[in-house]
Amino acid sequence: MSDLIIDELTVEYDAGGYAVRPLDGFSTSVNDGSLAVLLGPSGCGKTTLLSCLGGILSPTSGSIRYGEIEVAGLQGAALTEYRQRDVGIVFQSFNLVPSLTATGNVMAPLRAAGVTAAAARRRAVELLEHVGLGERLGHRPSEMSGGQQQRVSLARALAHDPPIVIADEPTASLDYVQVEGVLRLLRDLAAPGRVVVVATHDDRLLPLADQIIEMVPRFHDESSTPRTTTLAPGEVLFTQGSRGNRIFVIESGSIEILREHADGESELLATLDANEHFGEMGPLFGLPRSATARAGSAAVVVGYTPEQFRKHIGAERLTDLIRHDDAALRSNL
Amino acid sequence: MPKWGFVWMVAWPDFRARLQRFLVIGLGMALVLAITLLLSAFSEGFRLRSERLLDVFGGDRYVVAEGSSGPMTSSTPLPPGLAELLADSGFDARPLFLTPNAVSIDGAPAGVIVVGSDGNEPGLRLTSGHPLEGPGEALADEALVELELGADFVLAGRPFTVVGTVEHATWDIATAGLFIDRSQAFDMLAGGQTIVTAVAVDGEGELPDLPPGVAVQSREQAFEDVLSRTADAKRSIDSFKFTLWVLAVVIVGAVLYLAAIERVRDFAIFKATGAGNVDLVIGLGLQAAIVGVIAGALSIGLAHLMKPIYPGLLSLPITIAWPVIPVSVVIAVLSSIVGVRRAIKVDPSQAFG
Repeated sequence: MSDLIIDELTVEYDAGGYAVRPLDGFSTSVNDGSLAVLLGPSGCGKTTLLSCLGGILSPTSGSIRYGEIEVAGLQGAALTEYRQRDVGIVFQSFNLVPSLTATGNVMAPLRAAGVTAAAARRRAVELLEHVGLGERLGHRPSEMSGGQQQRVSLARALAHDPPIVIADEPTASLDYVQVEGVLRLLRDLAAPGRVVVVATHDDRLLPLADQIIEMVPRFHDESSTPRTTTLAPGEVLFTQGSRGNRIFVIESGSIEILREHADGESELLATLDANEHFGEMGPLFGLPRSATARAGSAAVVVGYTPEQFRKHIGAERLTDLIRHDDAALRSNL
Repeated sequence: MPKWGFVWMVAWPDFRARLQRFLVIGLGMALVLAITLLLSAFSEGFRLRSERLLDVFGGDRYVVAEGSSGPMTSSTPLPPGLAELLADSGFDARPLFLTPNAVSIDGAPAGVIVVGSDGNEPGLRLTSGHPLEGPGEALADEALVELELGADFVLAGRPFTVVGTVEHATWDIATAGLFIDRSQAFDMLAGGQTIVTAVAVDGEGELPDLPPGVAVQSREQAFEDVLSRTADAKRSIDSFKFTLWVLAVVIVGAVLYLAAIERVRDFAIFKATGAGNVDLVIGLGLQAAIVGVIAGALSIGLAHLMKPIYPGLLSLPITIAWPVIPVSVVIAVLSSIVGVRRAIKVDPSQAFG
């Protein structure tokens, strides 16, 4: 029985020449036997984290440890074996193979691991009966409802009785009637010897969770007082990929906006002067900063929370600011 | 080591689910292969035609003028008395007189091989009319379609009438045999002299000493000589066949590639759930091989159905036809390489989202 420990996990990739980090030094742990729910808006790195847990995406740095297994370091045959035996994946859109029956879909990972046809069939039937699909063994995905397909997907994830089960938005494509059975099954899966990690927007899962992992940190500087910061020349205010809850207005001096490229080089996007503002999109939409802000000269900036900033400039101007073309640069921050 | 059970799961259920599409691919490929089979049949027809031509005149060996091409293609005269010499030594020896010429049919010339016939060609078979009975009569090979039974034509300024048609006396695609009375042939084409261009000899055993200036050719040598007249045509056919195979690879490859693109999600799922690239590659290759077997088998049937459409002697024995099945499998598997490469490149993370 082991805990799942994620330590300083960073995933960086090249998006049109720019370095994008959906995960930047993310750490958490999930206790054995727990159902953990990953919460956060789209783009916050939930699916990226699940991909790393599932062994289908290699992180740039950091570690994922489960018992003796260092998932992030697996390669080749060891990685394939991990995917086969140690992790089961439930996909958002079921992702059943359309040409295979329910039984075939559950048998596939077993057969890929070299399990005999008879043993794979026995296991598939047992799992499908467990998820209440004993009457649908020979049906293809197109002949089943969304809920039934998701239960087949769950059965497939459990084919090897893996100690780690991950689910990406498992209820997103289901109506409320179908959701109930899937939620109950997910809850039942979390038992000693197994961890279940679910990424979701669906707050119906929250009461069932043993642990809620917020992918976007809540900020605790919600004071109504704007925060003034003094920067020496070259001092970095925030870095690309970091998260923050402040929108900044320059009181004096200048701020350079730099974007990091995938090759490690930086590109100066703009130099902003007194009375200009920057960094509004990240706090407003819960996104990571998409550029680095650095003092071009000695500068004083005032940081506002989104609420304070709205009051500061007025709601109409805020909308204009987001829509306006010449604010495109700042809109990206 | 491939997991064959899984490979079968990758290949067969999808094949059945998309049977119509695969059958369309197979049918398209079968049509192309059927045309290549017909070309092979045409090419094989050259061999058969050469064999049958030699059968018309018979002979296990041939005496020809030294340095000449062969008994069926040379009109170089031999020294006189050779046939008699051989007959005296106990061999069945038949003198031949063959010479290329042209006939005028309604004023239009047509190339022929004129055979001065003594009515003693062992394999000459009439398909209509009666044997030669005297001067002014001719037997025309069926390939000379203008010279049907009863047709009149002019040869070396003399009028002739076709009194019978014969088969298998064709030298190549365009040149057919015209049998006329041997004495008249000598009068018309050799200034009245008795000319022998070759002697067909039956029977085993050592031939007597022959005068200088002559050579002996085996039947195989004579066969290769006749066949050599179609060498250019055969090369063209082989090139065309190769072009068609390439065409088949491109067409089938394009369709299999599109089919692989449609399965990108499947491959991502299989990979995400632990399938190895090797099994996926073999699975796709197996699908292609099944298409290949179907296309190959269909092509044999199609070729036999299409054979009567094409004129000429087409020979499609099973020894020529069956190799099209493994060839078809190889073509289909080669065609699937592009699709397979696409499958290998699929990132399992595509299963998310």
